[in-house]
Amino acid sequence: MAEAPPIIAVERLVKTYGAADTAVRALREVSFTVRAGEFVAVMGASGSGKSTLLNILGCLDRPTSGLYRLEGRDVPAESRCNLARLRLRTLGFVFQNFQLLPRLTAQENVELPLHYVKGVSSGQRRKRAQEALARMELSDKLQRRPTQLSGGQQQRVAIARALVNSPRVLLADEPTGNLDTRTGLEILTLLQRLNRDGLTVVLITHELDVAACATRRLLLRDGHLIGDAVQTALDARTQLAALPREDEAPVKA
Amino acid sequence: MIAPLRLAFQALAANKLRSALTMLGNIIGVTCVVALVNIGFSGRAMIQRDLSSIGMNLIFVTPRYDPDAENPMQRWRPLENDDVKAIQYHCPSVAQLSPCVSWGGKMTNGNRHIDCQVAGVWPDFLRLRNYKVASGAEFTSADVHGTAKVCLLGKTVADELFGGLSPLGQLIRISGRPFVVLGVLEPKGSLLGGQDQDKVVLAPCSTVQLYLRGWRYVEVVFITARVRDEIPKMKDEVRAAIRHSHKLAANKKDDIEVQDLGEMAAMVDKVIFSATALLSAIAFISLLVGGIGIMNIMLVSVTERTREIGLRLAIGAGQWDILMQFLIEAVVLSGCGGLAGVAFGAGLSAACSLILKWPVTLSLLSVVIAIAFSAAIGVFFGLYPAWRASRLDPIDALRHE
Repeated sequence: MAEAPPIIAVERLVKTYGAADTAVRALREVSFTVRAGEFVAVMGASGSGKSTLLNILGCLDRPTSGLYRLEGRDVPAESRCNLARLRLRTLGFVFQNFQLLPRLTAQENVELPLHYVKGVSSGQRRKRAQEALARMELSDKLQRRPTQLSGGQQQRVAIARALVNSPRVLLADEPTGNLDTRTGLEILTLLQRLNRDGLTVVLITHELDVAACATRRLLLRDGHLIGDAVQTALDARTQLAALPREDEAPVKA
Repeated sequence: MIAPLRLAFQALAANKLRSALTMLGNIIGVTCVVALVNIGFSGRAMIQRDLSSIGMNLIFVTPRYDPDAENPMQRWRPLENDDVKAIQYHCPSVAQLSPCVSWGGKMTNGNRHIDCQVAGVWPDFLRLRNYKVASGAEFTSADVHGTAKVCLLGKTVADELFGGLSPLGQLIRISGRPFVVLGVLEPKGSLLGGQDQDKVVLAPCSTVQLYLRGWRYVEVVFITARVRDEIPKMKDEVRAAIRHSHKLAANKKDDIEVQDLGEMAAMVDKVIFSATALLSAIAFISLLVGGIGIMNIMLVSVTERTREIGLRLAIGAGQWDILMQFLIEAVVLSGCGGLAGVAFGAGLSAACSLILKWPVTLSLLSVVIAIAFSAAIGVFFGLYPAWRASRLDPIDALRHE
């Protein structure tokens, strides 16, 4: 793993909100690198700056100062237009509350990012969306709307949407926060499988159980990076099998 | 291009009632524009048709009203029989000529009666005004000279007084005076204003002057030229003849009007055109108001869908994509409103043509302009909401509740 090139490199990253005397310093000189193929869990209490970090890593926000290189590109220097292209090509987002559009079917939700890629025909869009949903084992739910799906299914649709453009990095903001333990483990199983297939995953969580499934753990407190440790990941599938029988999940993962 | 359109339709279909109400302004505006323009154009076409049914080479001479004359008695000098004779003898370009003096009265045959106008004319009047005798014979110059109490009945009058029976040779009374019916005219139909051209009785001019009006004046003199090109020359001749007959000094202005149906047609056409243009301009204002309604609803829609915009930005949409999405939605709204308006406007024109019995033709140009203007309104008023949507910060937008 160590010989893989860094895909994310941040150095002395600072983010300050507000004016001088009432300024909130959300990130104070955070530096780390993530190599391709890593599964990183960013931990920290609320207010520790982990959401701010994810927004900056996700090219949704710009740091006040510091360096951020994504695949070697100097992100703070890029135009808004190029940042959108980076989000489209290189990054995939998974949110705590899924963020599916309620009016659209599962398939249409997954097709969404492809609308912003030039030269993709509607046939290719449909095909790629169906492939992505098939990887999430949702081939039988293509035409369902989000309200007709369980929480776990909705999150899997959201992951399919994040994957449909074949990103290099998956950014997940508390992906299991709105799910029960079993469904959460199912989602983690999927993320681990994607990571084994070569996808870099950066996951934000405040739950130790969830962080235990990562191969590396970053710990934030009050905007400082206070811990950075490589660990042996717990296999989510084994944990899933170990769960007591009675809270049977409605859908097999 | 298809996908964004479908997306826009989906978004609008999610709020059907709201979308329909938003379109209302545009629907009403376009309906008015299309209906007004088409009814106006048809009206103009109808007037042209009416005028040619009256006779396009026709010129009529009437006294001129002069409000500036010092003596009130001299403000208006009626035409007399001598003036008609002056035209007859001193204007070589005149092909046909007939004075006209009218009398409105009651025509009776036994217990049947009808109120209508009697026109006192010369035999040439039939040719001048494109009247034809369907049965019987027209009266002659001898009848005019001899003040014969004879008449020709229009179809409507003949039907009213005689039912299905032949009126030829029968006696009718016009305001109590007996007249022999010589013939019945072929029907000509109604004019634009609904005036029935067949509700008419023709009698010799001298007879009407002597027995009905009791004066020696005529109201108007109808003249035709042999060819249209000679009309200006003929007008000059007529003016000179009347000046001579009225013994006008060289420094006096003409005391008659010489009007040309072609000129009148142009004038009426201008009036209808300006009326149509004015009303259409008012209708365009309703389109503007509709545009403001669209802007309002698009602003609401942007606020409602802040989270959707945030998500789209997060998964890779550029500002341009968001701008276009909302702009297309606004244009679809106004464009659909325009299409519906065209349908309603065409329906209204069709209804008008049924009621007024005009041939209303849908002008393609009016349809294209109305839809194009409507879509342009969508672009203009959709731009600001779409711009606001595209400027949203994705992080705030995603957190929006």
